[in-house]
Amino acid sequence: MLGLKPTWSCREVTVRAHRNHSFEHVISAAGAWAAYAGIKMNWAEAPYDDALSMQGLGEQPDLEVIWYDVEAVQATLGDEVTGWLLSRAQALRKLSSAPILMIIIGLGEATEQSLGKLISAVPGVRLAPTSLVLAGMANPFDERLRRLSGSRLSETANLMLAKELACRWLPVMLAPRLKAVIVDLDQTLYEGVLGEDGFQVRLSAGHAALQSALKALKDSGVFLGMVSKNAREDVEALFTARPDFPLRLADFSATEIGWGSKSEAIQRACHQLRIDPSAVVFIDDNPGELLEVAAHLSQVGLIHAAPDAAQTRRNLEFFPGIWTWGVSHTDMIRVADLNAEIQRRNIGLQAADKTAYLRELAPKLEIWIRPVALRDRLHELSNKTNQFNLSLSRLDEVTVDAYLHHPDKFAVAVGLSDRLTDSGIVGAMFGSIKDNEIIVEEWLISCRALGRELEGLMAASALRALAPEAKAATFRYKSGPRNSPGRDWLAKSSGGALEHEGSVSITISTLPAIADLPINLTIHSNERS
Amino acid sequence: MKDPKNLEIEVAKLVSEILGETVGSDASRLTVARWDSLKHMEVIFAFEEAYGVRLDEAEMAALSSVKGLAERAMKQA
Repeated sequence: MLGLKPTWSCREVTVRAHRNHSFEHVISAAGAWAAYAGIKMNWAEAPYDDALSMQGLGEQPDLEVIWYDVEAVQATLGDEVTGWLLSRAQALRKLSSAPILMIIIGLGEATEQSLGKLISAVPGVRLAPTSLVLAGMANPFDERLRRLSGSRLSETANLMLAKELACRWLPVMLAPRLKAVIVDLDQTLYEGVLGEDGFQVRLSAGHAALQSALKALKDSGVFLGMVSKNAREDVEALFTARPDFPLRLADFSATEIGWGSKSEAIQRACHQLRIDPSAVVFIDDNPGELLEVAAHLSQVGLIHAAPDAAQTRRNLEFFPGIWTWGVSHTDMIRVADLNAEIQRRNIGLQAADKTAYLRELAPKLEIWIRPVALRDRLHELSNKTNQFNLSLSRLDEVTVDAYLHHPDKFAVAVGLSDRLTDSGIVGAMFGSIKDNEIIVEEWLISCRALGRELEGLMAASALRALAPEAKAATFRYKSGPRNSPGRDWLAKSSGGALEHEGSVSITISTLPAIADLPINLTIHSNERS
Repeated sequence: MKDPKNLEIEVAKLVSEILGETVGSDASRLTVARWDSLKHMEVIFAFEEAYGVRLDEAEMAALSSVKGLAERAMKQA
């Protein structure tokens, strides 16, 4: 497999390793898996350094890796090793704004967890769960290799770490996580064909585990969709008749059951989920269906559902972009919030006017000024939001941190809930402010919060909370392939046509005011202090 | 017992697969530029797996030619 060369184009990524033991074997083995993830790693060498002094660093890479075996310093540092590693991450953070991945060998699970907590305070740094990976192996270390290869890691450990790096850690450090898994039904979620076997389709142990893995993904904020060539009433009856299925029909946020092409069904499911097909992985047992989807929706990730469902589950769990560093509150509420959207639409259809609609929903808006604790969510929003994203800045965590801490800059988070669900933090505004002069460098709202016509009120509430005396704000914008909802709002609010890129001023008094609407507003000012 | 010449050809084939270029029975780390330290480890691991051998540290470093590896495989046989 190591010799395979991709026939597709890969994103070139420069990785610089700060190390005290050999990283070459992992990089070499990771190449093929990285290509599977659409990434070509170019390795920028840094010298071996037990002290991780970060001296003489050259041009900034796309990713910094601290590849370190604590064995070298454990005897000297003892319990202080976590504090020392934290200091090294902080030192590198000052020298580079690239994401930093720490892969530390030799820490126990508890020590690794406590280091992970400390590291989370440093923007853009992630600690790989190395102890968990190595704990699952019979022989993570091979003393014969220490001198010959420059590392005590065994061949198996190098291969496993290479796979984790390329398929799990790297993809979600360089791009947002995938948003949905769409699955076929027959021979994918169970053995058999509903149309032939009826409710007697078989749930093997492997298929049960696959369904449980899908349910766990749903609980971690990934939408589930179903695309199946069957009759809808048969599918509904199947799930009712089979309580042994770990998945229930209600776990699927989008179901496209019918006889048309699967690529068209996936597009409709994406529309329901308000996501782009590039954020989807599709699982089907039929290679012909996978080819049809590949031909019409090349941006969709594909997994072949093998007869051995355990293999399918492993392929899913290592599919690039599906793994996550952790499940946030926003992740947990995402699926429920989308499901509530259907109810909101119904309320909207029945309401006499906008005021009646809002009164029925009872929205609560919360504004946080410079909320340091929400840094990760602000970063996530900046990188995931496409439709209502005015300047598409795609801020990294270090830049978000600067907006949160710099005296002349600001970052605002907007939270939204209503009587149906808590949508969590759905909006973010970044910019600079001096003497009531506000420049909004980025203003974005998650697509989950669109359609409630609260965009203007959110912006006005944020601006008024930031500077009650300010009369106007200048908004920067840039056209992108999908951000017309945001640009349309800006054009309407500013009263003028927009160029491809530029800035426009909005008079704050022309934006909606909270007093005019049945909405509860809470301001959390200057969270930084 | 395998014929030593055949074994050398077999080992040369295995080394060729790892290096991504065809090498003969007289190949060694001194004569093949691509057979660097990184590839050497891959050659060693593939050799251990193919012949059911577990080399010690000194052997891993010393067995740096097709002939040397073939002789070691012969011993195992």
